[in-house]
Amino acid sequence: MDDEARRQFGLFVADRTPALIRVAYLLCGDQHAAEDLLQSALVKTAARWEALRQAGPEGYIRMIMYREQVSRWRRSARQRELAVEARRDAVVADQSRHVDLRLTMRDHLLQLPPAQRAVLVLRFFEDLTETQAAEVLGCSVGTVRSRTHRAVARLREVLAREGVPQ
Amino acid sequence: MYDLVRAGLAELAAEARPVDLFPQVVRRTQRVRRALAIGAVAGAAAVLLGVPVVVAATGAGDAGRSTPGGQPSLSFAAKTSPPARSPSP
Repeated sequence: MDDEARRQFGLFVADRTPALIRVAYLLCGDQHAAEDLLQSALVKTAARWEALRQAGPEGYIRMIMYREQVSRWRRSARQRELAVEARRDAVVADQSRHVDLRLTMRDHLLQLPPAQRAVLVLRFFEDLTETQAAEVLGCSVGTVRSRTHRAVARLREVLAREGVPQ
Repeated sequence: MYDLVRAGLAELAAEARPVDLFPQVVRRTQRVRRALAIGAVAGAAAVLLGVPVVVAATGAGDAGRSTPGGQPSLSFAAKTSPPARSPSP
């Protein structure tokens, strides 16, 4: 990367990081994991900067983040199960403090599997169509549709259990 | 329901803290390039060193297949009696 390309890349990173870190945070639910995910995507973008800077690198970065987060989660699926079980146990143990322990939509979103959360982020935070979301994730429109349906159904179910009006 | 989802996502996204990742990205990119360069040099060295070794081993193998003392195989054939021609059953 020559000096001019590096300068342009630096400007791009400074300009777009605030928006991209929010997406990464939505995918990871954790600041450090979000920074790691975004950093990884930016390193891959830097390697292809000459080709990407004209075509629009932001779409490429988002695609890397979404796909990498879903694949990272699949690799550590067992660790996720333990974390969810621990959280569930904590809630069950102290049900007397119903108001404090009442999970908000924020918490429910974090408890969704990343593949389902990813489609909700693409569809309802980034306002992409089903086709655009499918392109980012590298899956079919049918898969996007079914994951969205399952995610929303799951959220509806937990909210109904808590008596939250929808 | 979808409005609730949007609101929840917006609430979650607002928790993200701004960060300057450019220095770390530059450092990691340089590390990746160094690792690739080292890998390329190591691969080239393996090929440059490996090819002569393989060629030498193949050449030595061919030479080793000859009779002891370097005599042509004809001398071995001369020491044995020629096979008798027997009529086929």
